Order: sequence, then C-alpha cells, then structure tokens
Amino acid sequence: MNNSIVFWVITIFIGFALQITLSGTIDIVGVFPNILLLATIFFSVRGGPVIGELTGFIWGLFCDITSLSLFGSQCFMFTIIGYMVGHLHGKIDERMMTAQIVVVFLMSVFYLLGLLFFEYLFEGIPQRFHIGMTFLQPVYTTLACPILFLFLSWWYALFHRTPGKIRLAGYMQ
Amino acid sequence: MDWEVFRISRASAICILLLSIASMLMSLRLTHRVQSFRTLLFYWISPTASLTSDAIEQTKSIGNRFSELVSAHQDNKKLKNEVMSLSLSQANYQEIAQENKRLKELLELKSSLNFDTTPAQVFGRDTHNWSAAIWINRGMNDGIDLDCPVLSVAHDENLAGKVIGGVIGRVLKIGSSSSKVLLIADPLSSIAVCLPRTGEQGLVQGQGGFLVTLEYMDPSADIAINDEVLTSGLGGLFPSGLPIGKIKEILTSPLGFKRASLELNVHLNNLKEVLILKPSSEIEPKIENE
Repeated sequence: MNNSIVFWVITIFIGFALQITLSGTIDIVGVFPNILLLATIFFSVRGGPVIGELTGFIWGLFCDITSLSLFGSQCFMFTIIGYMVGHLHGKIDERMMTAQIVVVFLMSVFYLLGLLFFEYLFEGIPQRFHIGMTFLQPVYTTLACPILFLFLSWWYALFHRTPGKIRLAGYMQ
Repeated sequence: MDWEVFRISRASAICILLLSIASMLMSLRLTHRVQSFRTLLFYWISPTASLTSDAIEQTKSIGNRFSELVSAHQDNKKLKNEVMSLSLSQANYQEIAQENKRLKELLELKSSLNFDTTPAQVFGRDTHNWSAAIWINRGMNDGIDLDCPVLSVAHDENLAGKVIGGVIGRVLKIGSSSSKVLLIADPLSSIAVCLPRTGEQGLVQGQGGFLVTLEYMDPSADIAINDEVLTSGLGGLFPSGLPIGKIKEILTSPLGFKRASLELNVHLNNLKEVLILKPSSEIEPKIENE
C-alpha cells in the first residue's frame, strides 16, 4: 500500500480519536480545544488547499456524525477553512509561534461564527450558542496550538523522511 | 471570448464540490436518505471512538493500578510490622494469661489447704543440677523459714484438666528476700509418706533427674498402681495429708523391701509459681469454722 495513503488513514483516525478522548480529559469548565480544527490548519499550511479541504471535509463529517450540531455545518466550515488556509501554503512559516497563533485564532473565530450563521439560517435559533462558555473555545484552541503543531510536525516527519534524511539519522546514531 | 477568466483551479473545484455536498447535507438533513447515511457512518465510526476511549481508560487505570500497587506495598510493610508487634503482644498476653491461670489455681489450692501459705515465683534453677533445686522470690522478710514445705499445682489430664496440688520440696537455704528450695527429686530429699487406701507407710526419696521412688515398704504391703501417695506427717517437716503423686510401677529393692516409682502430681520441669507453707501453722492446721 502507498505510504501516503497509510499516513492519511492513520492520521484521520488518530486525529478523530484524539478529539473524542482528549475533549473529556483536558476540558476546562466544559471547554476543550478543537484538535481537528488545529490539525486541519496544520495540514493545510503544510500540504496546500487540496489536502486542507479534503482532510477538513472528512474530519468535519466525522464531527457532524458524532455531535448534535446541524448536520453538514462542521463539514462545510472545516472544508472552507482547509481551502482558505491552504492558500497560505509556502507563504507563512507554520513553525513560527506567532503565525500559528494568529491563523488559529482567526480560523477558530471564523469557524464559530460560521456555525452560528448556519444554525441561525437552518434552525432559526442558534441553540448551541446559548452557553457563553462556547466562545472561550477559540482562546483555548489557540493556546493549545503550539503543542499540537509540535506533535503534528513530529508525526508528519515520521512518515515523510527522505532517504537522505534516514541515512543521516543512521550515521548520527 | 477569453474562457481563461472562468477557469478555476483544481483546489477550488474540489472545494466547490465538497462545499456543495456539505450544503446538501445541511439542506436535506431531515430526509430519510441523509439520516440513513448519517446512521451508516456513525455505525462505522463508533467503534473507533469506543476503542480509543477504552484504551485511554486502560492507560489511566495503569497509573491507578501502579499507585495502588505502591500503596499496597507500603500497607504490606506497615501490616507486617503490626503483625510482628501484635505477635509479640500476643505472646506476652498468652504468658500473662498463663500466669494468671496458674496463680488462680494456686489460689484455689491455697484456699483448700488449712494452713497459712505464701505464694512465690520461681526465678531460677540450680545451674549445676536442673532437677535439684529452684530459687524463689520469698525469704526471711516474708516470714519464710528453713524446711518450710513447698507445693505447686498442675492439671490432671486424666481428670478432665482438674487442678491438683502436690509437694515439690522444702526450703533448703534462706535469704532476706529469696530462698532455695530443694526439690523432691533430689537424692538428698526424703519425705515420710503413707498410702491412704491401705494405710501403708514408707519414704519417698529422690533419685535425681525427676525420678522419685517410694522406699522401705514392707514386702507384704498392699500397694497397687495408681494408689495415691500423701505425706504422713512423721518427721515433723511436712504436715500430713499433702498430696505427692501416684504409684506408677511396683518394684523390689535389693534389700528385699517393696519399692515403687512415683508419678508426681506436679511436673518439676516447668515450675513457675509455688506455695510455701508457713512455719507458724505447719504443725497446727487451721480449724475451719472456728
């Protein structure tokens, strides 16, 4: 099987699993970082808009299936964020903490506003946003982004070593 | 017409497609097909969630188990120390209980005797000959005199553990607060005795090594195994009627006398507390209900 396909299948499932399990473990007053949004942003910056929108679509669909939000809304928002951030590919350095924080915070707010818009549009009343704590999620997500980006960089490098890098690693050991 | 203006990138095309699908899902979310699609996807995704959740729980429980193991180890250590101290306490308690029992039995014996008595504790034995003498913690200050008879108690297993008393010896040496008692098994010890069943009289003599014999019995004397042996009162040292033991084996001495080996009422090997008959009343027994 192609190494790239293995990487994406594992990444998609691990990302989803992390979102499900960690959300109940690292929450503060019921607010937890949106790990899938962070991952979508990371892979969009790394891989471009196609990678970003595809991963965003799949993770958004998974989120829609498992959550009580408007079905399709998260899928829509993740896809559009993936597409938008994907255009920053090669234009910003995703390893810079400032760049990470700005992009993640803006996209988190955009994501939240998008969901609010769709809920208002389709449901009439944005029920999910009655809890004021929901608006703390962009802050928490932004705070968590340096650690998660570090982890994702390591994870990405694990599957994308060039033969030269592997040889070098072998010599260094 | 320049169609290049309307040309869109691959990324945009995919994005439009995906957004269209997402919009359709939102619009048709209540239709049966979308609901079925959602159910189907949930059916395939839910095991991932439950498996991951289980894995996380297991990982959490490893930490808990480890901390439980550490605390169990500490508890085990603590409990071992407690068990050790408790076993020491228990041994001490058992020793005290035994002592209490012996003292009670001694008290019973004391009340059954018509003499003034003084209880004493054995604190030592003759280092040269274990069965020859014992040291007790009563002396001149307690009104003890030389040749005072000394008794002790024991359980008779044949009589369902009934407490029986018996003469064990006499005071040989006396100090201010301790005395040396010559045991009945010492070869220097001899006591005038009688057999209450037949009235036959003789002399109980120590043979050393806890062996005691009844000597100088008439060859035609009527003695039998298990006959009780009591002090006769002859000789003046021991008052009459004090129990000593029972006939164990009947023999004949080289001089032609009948002799018998005795089974003492009290085992001389494990004496702890004894009763001393005081000299003031050793000759004249107290009269009950005077």
